[in-house]
Amino acid sequence: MLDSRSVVSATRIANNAAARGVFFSPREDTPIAILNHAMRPVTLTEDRDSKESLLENILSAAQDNPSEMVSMSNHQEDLNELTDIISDRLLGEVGHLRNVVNPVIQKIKRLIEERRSELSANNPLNLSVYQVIVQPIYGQEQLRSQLANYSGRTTTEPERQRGIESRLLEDVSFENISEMLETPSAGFNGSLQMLLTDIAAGGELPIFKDTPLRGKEMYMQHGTVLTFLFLRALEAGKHPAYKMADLTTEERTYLVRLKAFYGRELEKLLNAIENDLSTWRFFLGVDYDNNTIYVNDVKYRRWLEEKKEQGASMEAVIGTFYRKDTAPDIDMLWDDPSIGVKAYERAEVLHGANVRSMTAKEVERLTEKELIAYFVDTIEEAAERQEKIVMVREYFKNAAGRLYANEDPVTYIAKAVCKLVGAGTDAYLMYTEMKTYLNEEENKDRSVKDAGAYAVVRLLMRWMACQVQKHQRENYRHLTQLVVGQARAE
Amino acid sequence: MNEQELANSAVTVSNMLCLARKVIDKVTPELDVVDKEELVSIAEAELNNELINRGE
Repeated sequence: MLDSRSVVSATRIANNAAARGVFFSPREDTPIAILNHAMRPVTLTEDRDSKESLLENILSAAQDNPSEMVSMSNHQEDLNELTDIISDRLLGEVGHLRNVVNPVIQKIKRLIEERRSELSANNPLNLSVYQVIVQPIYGQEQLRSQLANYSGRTTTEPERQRGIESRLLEDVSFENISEMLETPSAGFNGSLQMLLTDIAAGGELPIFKDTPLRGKEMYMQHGTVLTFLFLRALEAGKHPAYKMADLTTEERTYLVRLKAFYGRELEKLLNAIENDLSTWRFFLGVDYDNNTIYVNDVKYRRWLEEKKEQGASMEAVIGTFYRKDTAPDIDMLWDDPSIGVKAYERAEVLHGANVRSMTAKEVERLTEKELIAYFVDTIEEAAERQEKIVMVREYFKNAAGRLYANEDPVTYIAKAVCKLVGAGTDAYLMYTEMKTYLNEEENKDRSVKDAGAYAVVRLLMRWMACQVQKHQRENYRHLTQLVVGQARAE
Repeated sequence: MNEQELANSAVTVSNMLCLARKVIDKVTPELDVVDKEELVSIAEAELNNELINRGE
């Protein structure tokens, strides 16, 4: 039994086709042929403009009439049976795409992304510039004045007494060190807070440790200044647990000598910082293991400002230091930073292309390997498994198995999986229909679920269209009136 | 070539659309799609496209 909406739409399509001289008939032994045979013959009435003409005749022809023996079978029964068969096949296609093909696509995609991240991390240009701050406390006049007693004195390091040092640290933590070291000067205390915040990021208080006098460590390790301030605070009676009077004479003597030593060391440190800041050279070191170039923040910013017109930039710095095996020409950053920029740009082209090319090859290799692994894991029967493996190898030997520069890797993977894991199904057709649907601007708010439903309908209608043949007729012009009349009847 | 051929053509397309509609009715719950009528409209448009605009 036919529904009138389908017949009205069908008549419109048939009329449109007839206006072009095209007519349809079912291919033999197809579901549509079965349904056509299950209907009584349709004849046109003489009155071409009648509403009843074609529409009513078709609806009537599909109705079962037991008194007539024209039909060899029941249209409604055939329709129900064919609906079940086609629905099952369609849902089978959807299930296979969802549950078998798609998980393989997703797995390969994930592996490719992981590999791409690795390659990107290995790109020599994958360096960052770390601007090392010069702690303001080193510029505090108050600190300088505290060192006046040690200026120019030759102070040797006393033999270290770790026992007393450890005891003094037992009750000191990030929670109480600030209170212990603070002075009446708000400016000094502000700088002290910045210093302690920086130190806290490192996780431990570097008291009784030394600050190197060169490189990034000179600005990043603060043992010398903190120890000096700590010993001063201890002497002033601000330690949370000990007064100087609680200590033995030997310990007191040791701590006084130690304070003098750190005072002298701190003076040397301040002088080294002052000297360093008086030059333009901002480079402090490079750590290739951590992909980091360290620069002095103050001098780097000054260089960026002063040499902006000549190309001073992060790219110029990376272009100068990215090659591990070549000594960098640091003076060039001052004389002509644009040379560093050009080196960066050349390396970007070279290594960018290498990464893409390697990725393309690896996408092919990984896809092939994963597809073989899939068949090995899922097929128990040896001969069948071998047949699938040969099929995979053949696919990747041919042009279809190559990933071209202008091709989207995800589409490439999906195609290979659909063609191989989804061999014998319409997986690839459905995948491309979904992708096309989701890429259209008008569908930008639609979901993957909507795209899936659309792909199912497209597949269904393709199957339907394959069941009929077209006939082109030359002498169709006399039907124009019929077509127009029929269209009006609708 | 006569009017009967047009009638048969219309019968063929009617069966195609009717079958498509019933299949859509049946698979829609599995696809978790709410707007079944939209799918039927898409089916009609696609069939028109497949039959008229595309070659044999």
